[in-house]
Amino acid sequence: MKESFENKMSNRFREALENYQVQYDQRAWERLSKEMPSRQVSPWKRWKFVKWWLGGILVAGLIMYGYLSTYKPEVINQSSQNSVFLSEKKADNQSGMDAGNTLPVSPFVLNKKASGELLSKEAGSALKSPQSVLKPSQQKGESLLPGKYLENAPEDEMSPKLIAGKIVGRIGQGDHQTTREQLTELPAREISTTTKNKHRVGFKFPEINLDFSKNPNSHFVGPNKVSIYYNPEFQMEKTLRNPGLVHGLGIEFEGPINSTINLAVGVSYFSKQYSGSETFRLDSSKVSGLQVPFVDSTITRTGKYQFLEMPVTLRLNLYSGQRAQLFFDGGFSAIVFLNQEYNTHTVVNLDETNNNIKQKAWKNIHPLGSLNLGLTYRYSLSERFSICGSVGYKNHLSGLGSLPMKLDRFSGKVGVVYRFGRKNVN
Amino acid sequence: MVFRKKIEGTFRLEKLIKGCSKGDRKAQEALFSLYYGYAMSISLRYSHCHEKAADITNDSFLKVFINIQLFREEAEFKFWLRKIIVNTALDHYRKEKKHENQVPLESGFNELTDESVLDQLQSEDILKLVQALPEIYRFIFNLYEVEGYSHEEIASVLGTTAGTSRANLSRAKHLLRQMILNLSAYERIV
Repeated sequence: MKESFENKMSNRFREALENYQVQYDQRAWERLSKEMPSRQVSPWKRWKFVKWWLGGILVAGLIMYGYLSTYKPEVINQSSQNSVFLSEKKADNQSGMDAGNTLPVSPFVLNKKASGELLSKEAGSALKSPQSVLKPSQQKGESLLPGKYLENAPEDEMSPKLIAGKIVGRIGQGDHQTTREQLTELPAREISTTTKNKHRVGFKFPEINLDFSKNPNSHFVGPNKVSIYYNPEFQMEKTLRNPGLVHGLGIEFEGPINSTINLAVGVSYFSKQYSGSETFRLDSSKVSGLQVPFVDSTITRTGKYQFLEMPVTLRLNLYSGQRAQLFFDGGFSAIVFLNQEYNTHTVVNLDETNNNIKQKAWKNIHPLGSLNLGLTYRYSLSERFSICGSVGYKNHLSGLGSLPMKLDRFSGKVGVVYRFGRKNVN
Repeated sequence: MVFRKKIEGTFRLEKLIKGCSKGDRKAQEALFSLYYGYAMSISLRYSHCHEKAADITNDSFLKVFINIQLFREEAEFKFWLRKIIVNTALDHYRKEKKHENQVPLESGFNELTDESVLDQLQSEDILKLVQALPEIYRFIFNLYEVEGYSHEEIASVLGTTAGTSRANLSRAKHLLRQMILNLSAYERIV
């Protein structure tokens, strides 16, 4: 009787205590917030934020440098029966307005107005900088009358040829007259020498192997290096709390953008199996009143994951010797996860929990998986074969995979480079 | 609908925990308001008064905010919080243990066997009865009956022996019975 009463009492008490709830009191938070330490941003966190800006600026700078250094003045090789010169000139006897400023506008439209014929692009580009042609007459303070300009131009090194052209059409009347002139003799040599070094405006996409002259090693045409490498990495994994070495294998294609910058694109395969146990303690030093650190929980983690990494790297040549080359690498990696399996076994006192996450391949794709910085050293063994080694740091902007994991990595590479493609005989 | 609410709640909690781990005060306040009632109800079981329970709750949340990076997503937050509160209550008990006097076992308990009395008790009454227990009895009763600790575990966390824990639990139950009897006698008079 006594036993059953005690059991009933225990059950009743347990039930009542479990279900008992207290209403929220705003003053409780005010009291707690006074006791809480003020938040301080550590210098390391500030640096972590700043370094991505620095990295971004560096990569952008490299790309810009690559673009700008591929610029070459246009060499115009025009046949003599080249087309048309247009000038729309507003007569202005007092100021003699700059004729060159009015010219680059829409030659196609002007020409169409004049005679219904379309100009070829070559003609447009050949004549899109006529300042040098027009300026001599301006400098001499001559007034520029519509339709008469070319005939009245002084006989300097360009004008005799231009005078030989004939006027084939005119638009408008009086002050707003446009003249269309067909040039009969317009040697490319003279235009190109005149425009050279003056016409430096323009944007040009990078081209592969434009410049062989400066780099004695670049004797092969096309994207011309392939390397196969072993790629060990030290992953500072923060989610699985299982940092360690991961082995990878990869292949990479590389070609020069210009004499100092190469572009490399590759693919690497990484695989990791892990197993580790961790005991969590509440830190007594951080909390006043806690005398002894308590074991809060123990977690055992096991699993494996594989991923493909596709690095895109701009490789800046820092040093180029007879056989050795040193490059600074900057770029990013796309990452695609293959199979992932994460198991956790959590023990809190006598309670155990098992969790298992499995993910199929190609479920986690990260186009901007990591930003990479590094150094590459290459040593030529023969004309076609080199050995290479590199070290680098890969930082991840966001978590990767299904958990997601924070994989910051120190990466090493050792490999063989083969230079292929036909030789540039020049 | 219930499932959807549960999912939304999980996402909200996940967001709050992320905010707390970054030290976001608003997230901390939101998490505190969300779990204050739950935390306070546990703290009250281990304390003789409201102020003491508030101290335990505050210390527990401080620990939560400081150690929230250690919280693993795969574990349930409520469960983790509960462990911290119980551990904090035990800390307080250990700190004040030296000031505690030995509780003498009162003789001549009246035997209470009327089970209907139990059903008439409200949750607040039960909490008050538990709070009225001497501290060592209160802890042993809560750890054994509510948290599900074994006597060996209780002995290890309270620094006693399993036998003492058993004896103290028995005394706690006797005291509770006597208090219920007194309460029902008082109600009869009133």
